[in-house]
Amino acid sequence: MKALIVDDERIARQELRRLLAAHPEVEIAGEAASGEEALALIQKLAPDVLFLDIQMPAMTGFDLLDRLREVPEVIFTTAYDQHALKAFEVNALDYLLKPIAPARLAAALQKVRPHPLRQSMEQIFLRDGERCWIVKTREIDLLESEGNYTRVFFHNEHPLISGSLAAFEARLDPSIFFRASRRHILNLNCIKGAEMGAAGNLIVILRGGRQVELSRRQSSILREILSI
Amino acid sequence: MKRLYWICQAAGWGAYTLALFGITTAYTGWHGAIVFSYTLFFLYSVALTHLLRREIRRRDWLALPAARGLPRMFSAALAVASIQTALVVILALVLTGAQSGFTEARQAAATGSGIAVATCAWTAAYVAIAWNRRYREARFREMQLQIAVGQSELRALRAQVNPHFLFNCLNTIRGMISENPARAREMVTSLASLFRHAIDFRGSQMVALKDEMEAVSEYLALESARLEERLHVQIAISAEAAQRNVPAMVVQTLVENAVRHGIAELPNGGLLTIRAGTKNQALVLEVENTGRLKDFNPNGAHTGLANARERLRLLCGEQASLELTDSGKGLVAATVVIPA
Repeated sequence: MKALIVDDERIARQELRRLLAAHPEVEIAGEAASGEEALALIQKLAPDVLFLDIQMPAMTGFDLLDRLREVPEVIFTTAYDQHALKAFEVNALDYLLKPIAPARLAAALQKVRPHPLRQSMEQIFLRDGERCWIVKTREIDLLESEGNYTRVFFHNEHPLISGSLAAFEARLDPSIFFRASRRHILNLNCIKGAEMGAAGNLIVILRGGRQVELSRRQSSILREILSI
Repeated sequence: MKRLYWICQAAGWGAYTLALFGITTAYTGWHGAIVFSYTLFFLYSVALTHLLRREIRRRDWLALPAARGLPRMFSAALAVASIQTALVVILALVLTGAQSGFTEARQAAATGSGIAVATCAWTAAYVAIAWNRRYREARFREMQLQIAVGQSELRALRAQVNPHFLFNCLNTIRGMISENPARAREMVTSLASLFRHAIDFRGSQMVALKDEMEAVSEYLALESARLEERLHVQIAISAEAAQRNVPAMVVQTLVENAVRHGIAELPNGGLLTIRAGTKNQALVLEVENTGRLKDFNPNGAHTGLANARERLRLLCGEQASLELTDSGKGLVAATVVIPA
């Protein structure tokens, strides 16, 4: 498991390195002293897991995640930002309080380990004001355009996220996500059923019962994909 | 308050006048002149005691200790009662002549003592109410001051025991234990004396600048270990300034703001300068850091700053000042001026 340590304090990075020495399965691929450095190293090293400090000058840990197209597993390290982490609505990460207790580190690593197929575990970072989520893309049911914003439906949440629907489309796997109309992108794995609309188009019913109306052109494409 | 005073005046003198009027008419029967003279009595009694009140306030007799204030106020009350009695007698003689019964001195004395009792009772009631109010107001002010000082102590302690600082510091010490054990030991000592300083801190306390600087140095030693080459410190304090007193924890608050919201926010760090000297007898203290003012976190920094400013005003008077300025050249300075 390739890890990248991101912390602005040298001693803090070194201390974490020392703690990780007890976990030979973790290979420390690099260290970054700032968000900028981290951006470059994530590109270059494609780490499996980030040990990410939240409070850093110029670019905070959250700012860094905001700039990533796709986020690796994240374990936050912080001296005292539990309140910021409470903002996370989805348990897609863990956090460690500094000074880090070795047992807590082991428990956090335990959660990272059982993901042999990272490809299917692709996840993105979403931020709506104070609230943040790290969401596995396959858990997103639907995306709905609202101008320069996009409403993202997953679990029981539907936060409004900065960014156009087209921008999201570019980030999502086209084999799973289907452009249903100008307003909607839906997850093909979430389709529970379909009805015929008045204009001969399809009305798709997603898990949870939400209905999405397709344009006529996209209806015929979807029929082909689903072979119905 | 004013309305209540006039209602009491009218009710008190009204009741007293009516009682006297009742007793008199029981002997003499209804009489136009009697009605007229009692109406006048009511009016000048209200007017004279109102003047008495004005005089008590003007001379500030209520502020005197009771042993000095009460004789003055009751002498004045007796003087007022004499004027009232004189007016009663004169008016009675003018209006009804020999029928009034005031031809006998004994009668006049009885009336006079009755009026004296009434006016003294008026004064006693007035003093009791006014003293009670003064006492409550004083208590209220005292409580406000206590609250202000208590709050500043609490805030300063909370700022010092700032969890972010504490846990980062402990993390640095943990890292230092294997890297540089001697330094780690020093850090533990610094942290201990910094906390002792914070716990002993009293919001109403003034301390010599040199003593305050000891705590500041401990703090800077700890932050230097954490921020390493990102934090550079320069201190220039004149011997004269070092002996001067400052409100406890004010310099510490400014230095902490400069590090936390200034230098720690800069990827490449910066320079912290503490200067103190005297200028026209006034102590001028400056804490300057690399950074921009807009980078200051409005919540954290400003509450600490507002509290420091408040204590400066409470302990050093209105002339003392605390200003935060952005030089526009990438430097932010907090300047404290405490007049001699």
